Amino acid sequence: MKETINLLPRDRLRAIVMHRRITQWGAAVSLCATVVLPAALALREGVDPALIERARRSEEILASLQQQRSMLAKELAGLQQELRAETTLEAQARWESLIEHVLTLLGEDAALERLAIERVQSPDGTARYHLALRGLVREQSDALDLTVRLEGLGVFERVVLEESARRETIAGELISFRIRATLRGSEA
Amino acid sequence: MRHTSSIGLHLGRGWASGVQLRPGGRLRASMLVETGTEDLSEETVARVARILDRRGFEGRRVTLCAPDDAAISALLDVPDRASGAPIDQIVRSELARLARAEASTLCATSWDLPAHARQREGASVLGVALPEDEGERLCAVFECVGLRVVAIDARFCAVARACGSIIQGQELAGVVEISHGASRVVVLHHDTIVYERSLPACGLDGLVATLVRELRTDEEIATHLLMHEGLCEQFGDERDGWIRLGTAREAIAAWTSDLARECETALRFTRERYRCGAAGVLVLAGHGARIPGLAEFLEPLVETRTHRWSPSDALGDGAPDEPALATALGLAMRYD
Repeated sequence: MKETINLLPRDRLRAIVMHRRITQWGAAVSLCATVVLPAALALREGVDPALIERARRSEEILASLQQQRSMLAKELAGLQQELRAETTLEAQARWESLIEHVLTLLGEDAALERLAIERVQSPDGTARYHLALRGLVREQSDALDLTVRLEGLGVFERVVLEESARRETIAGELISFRIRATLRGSEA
Repeated sequence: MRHTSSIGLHLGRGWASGVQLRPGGRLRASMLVETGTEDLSEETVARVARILDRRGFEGRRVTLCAPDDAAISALLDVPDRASGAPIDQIVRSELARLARAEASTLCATSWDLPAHARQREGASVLGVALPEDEGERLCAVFECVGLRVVAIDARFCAVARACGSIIQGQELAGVVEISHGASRVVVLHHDTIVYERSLPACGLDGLVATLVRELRTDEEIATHLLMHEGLCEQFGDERDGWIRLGTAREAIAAWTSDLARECETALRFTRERYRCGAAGVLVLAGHGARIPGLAEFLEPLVETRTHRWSPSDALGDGAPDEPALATALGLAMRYD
């Protein structure tokens, strides 16, 4: 029987998954420290010096890559913050900046038919802003990929691929898509 | 499995059952106790926690099943997953609509069902949900007594898992869990749960109430007659002459016929949906499976081989012969 479900509240489930990962990671680190590292040190005595030098260089390159990665991560966090600030409604959103980012994400593989910012009034009086995109891509996976990339921008609370269907066009059969992205913290 | 399982714990109507397994699926500890209350209060849970300690259960991690009155499940038709449609959201919305609740308040999940005979497009799923606040309430009650809830399963999934060794590989198989509040029928097609239904009219409490009324006796005697004499026709002693036993047997037989009708309906529905052969086996589990003569009486009515489940079916010799442990064992078998 394959059905193993867990109906725990989502936050608790996430915490359990995280705890499990940390435990596994801790076990892996302990294994390295107690078994792999001593074994590697023991082996090193009989190893070619050229190989040791290559390993040292690789380690240096890895360290430099990790440093670059952390710098890029910081830069990305700064950009996301900037983007968020520009889309908050108290500051009268600078939509052109958001649209520019979205258009960059679309790249050359997607054709946009409609891009709209919709203001939806909730029954409780608050307003939410949605970015509605409609367009064409070559493959089904391109539409999903675009959804994921929009999520990755970090400024949307929710990105939903509302529709993706085949459509005959002059250029042949393409996939038409409709995406709705809700701006994070967009209550008026 | 490399580690000891979490404690599979089921607090039902007036009863609590628990099972914990050792690595490799051997029994570590089990318990079945009468709590005498339907209320899942901190006091009841604290009492159960003390019993767990005394019975040799290890650790504080427990796996529970969703309460019967809060869990929501339904067969749903959804778009094909390949279409990219947000299936999880659709399932949650549909279950919320059925439960007249807000979709965002539900913790929902689903699994794909095999394509049925009349399916032209889209897919079918079996969706299950539990309101988040109910899940939180459960976790909070157990946390108060130092137990940590690591998973909440659907009861019918747990029972089907416990009966896995009997139903495995069958094209079509049924499981009936007969408990105090209601009975539950689960149908599996090639080891996938494809149908589930709760039968409140077929609970043991209703049958005991009928016996109390028919025999003009008290609940204790009625329960004794049900669980010890049941549907047996011949005892070979003075009981064969007791008229009241005959009256009790008639009431139990009528109740069993109703249960058989529900089982047959469920099996026929699935057989027609998947255009498959007759069910290979109908497994009886839960408190009611202990009613003497029930399996023999039910078998010709449902025209399916009927098997009375026992924990030894899953754990081998040495396990207690108590079909009421099915839910708790199924929860422990998850190895959360």
